[in-house]
Amino acid sequence: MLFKGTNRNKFMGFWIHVAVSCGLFSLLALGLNLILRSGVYSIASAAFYMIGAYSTGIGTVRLGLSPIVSILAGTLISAVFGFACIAPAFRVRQDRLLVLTLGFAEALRLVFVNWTSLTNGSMGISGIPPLSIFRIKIYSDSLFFIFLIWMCVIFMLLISSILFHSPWGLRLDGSRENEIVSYILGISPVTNRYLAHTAGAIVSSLAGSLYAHHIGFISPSPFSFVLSVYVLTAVVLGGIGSPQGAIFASIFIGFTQPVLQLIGISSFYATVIRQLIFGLVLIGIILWLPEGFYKKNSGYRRIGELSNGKY
Amino acid sequence: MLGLVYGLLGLSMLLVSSVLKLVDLVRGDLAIASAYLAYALTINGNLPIYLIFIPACAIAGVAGICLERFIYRPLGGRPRFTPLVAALGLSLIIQSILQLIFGPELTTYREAEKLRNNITHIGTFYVAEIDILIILVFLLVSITLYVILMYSKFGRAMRAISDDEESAIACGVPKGSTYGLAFFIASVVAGIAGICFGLVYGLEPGVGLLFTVKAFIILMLAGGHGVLGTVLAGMILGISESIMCGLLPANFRDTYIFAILLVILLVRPEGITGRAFQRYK
Repeated sequence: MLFKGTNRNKFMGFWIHVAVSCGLFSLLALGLNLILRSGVYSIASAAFYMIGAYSTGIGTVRLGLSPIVSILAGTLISAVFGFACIAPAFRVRQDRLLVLTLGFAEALRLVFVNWTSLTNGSMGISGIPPLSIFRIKIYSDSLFFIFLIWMCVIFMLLISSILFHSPWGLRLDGSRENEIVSYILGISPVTNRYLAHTAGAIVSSLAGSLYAHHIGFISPSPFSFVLSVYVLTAVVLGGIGSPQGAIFASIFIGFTQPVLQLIGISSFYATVIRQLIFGLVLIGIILWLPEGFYKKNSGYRRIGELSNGKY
Repeated sequence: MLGLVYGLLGLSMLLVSSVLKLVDLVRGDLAIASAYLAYALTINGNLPIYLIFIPACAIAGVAGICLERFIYRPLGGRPRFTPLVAALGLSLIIQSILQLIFGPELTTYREAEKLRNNITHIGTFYVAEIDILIILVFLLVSITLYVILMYSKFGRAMRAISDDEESAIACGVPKGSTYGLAFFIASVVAGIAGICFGLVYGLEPGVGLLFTVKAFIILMLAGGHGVLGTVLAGMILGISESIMCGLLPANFRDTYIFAILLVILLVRPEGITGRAFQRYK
């Protein structure tokens, strides 16, 4: 019963959708949190999300692969791209790297729009089958799907929290805080950045695959620059380097669209107003509250305070 | 001709990034927004084309000064990341407001159609009037900027700040007014670039982002030094884009541009003019 969508009425379906999108958003935010922690200013989350979604879509619908194989293929592809799109990191300043990831995300989206023989262009791919693990089908409107997604989130949260105090986490902090000192200590910031960006890309791609199974239809339009900035907003709102904060902020962001729609604003205006609100929130946070709302985890900030407040 | 339009925005970005030492991510959106507002002010673009340039420049200039005063100056001493995030937030705000006012469709100036169809011939060449207009604007802007940067007091102050900010301030260069003036001039140029973009391509609320990326590519190609390098880079980008679109499927135009950016950053991050820049300035 749990695996078959029992909750087919509209009201429950809506709230299941909200819960799932909050979970997916948290996954994206956790991936970006890892990337930002290493000092790569990447806003290409939407691109890797799209790679995951499309590899599931193309793999299951066009090629007839099983969902697990498609998900693994997606993570592999986005790992390669995650490395390739910040390949110049060893000689390029970080703000320029940000524009590079921005350009990568836009270029990739336009490839998916224009490569109609593979992706069916802006018409999108429909009829993606539900996720199945070892012949157990998990329908996207079942409670077990929410459980699965939030298990992924908790798993990633555990990994992030363990990383927080692990040697690799400290190396990431070091390569973000002060490149020259970390070079002197024998830590290569560039290697750590490549690793962190690849790992973040894999997490985003996983979230994308789950998204494709949840929605059942994918087109290039939701994977725009705006989505990447929302993910960045979630991380900045929660405080960079604090995974719990990122999750709380993602839940907050995930709830705005349904709330705006519930109070009777049409879909187009809800999207635009949400964009306006989060632009204002992002600027406000940066100007007046640069460490985010969730300040409990002070280990990270202590390092920041030592080096003159730079994170 | 889009290459030259990107070149104009590249010049604007050059001015900003040489004082700020950061990439300004709202350049493209600023250009598009001021072009839109000028379109609305001139009775939906029905006035002659040179009258559209004036409000666009005025709006963009004021917006540029506000941007510097209220966003970049308060974030001055903060870590590098914060102004970039603020710029992204501003870009979201501008795009959403443009969508609320003008809708998501493509908007074109009425004058643009006429300019595109009027064809004059110079010698044996047949040239559309719009191309002549853009070449003239581009030459005018780049020569003016070159003269300002090389021969005026402000230009000298700006070059000093761009070389070594602390020493320049120690020698009495006024930081605040130089920043403000640099942003003003850069934003006026961005306004001109926005109008030219609207004439060649038309205006869309979300197009500012790619515009920024392309201006950044030009900046990288030029290595971030000097007006002449930027002018050259604009021409090179325009020509290579046309050649690639001729040889390969034209749908993937922006992907080629990204490939160019990746190759430049991998192979020659100091740009084609070849002066190596300090890595962590």
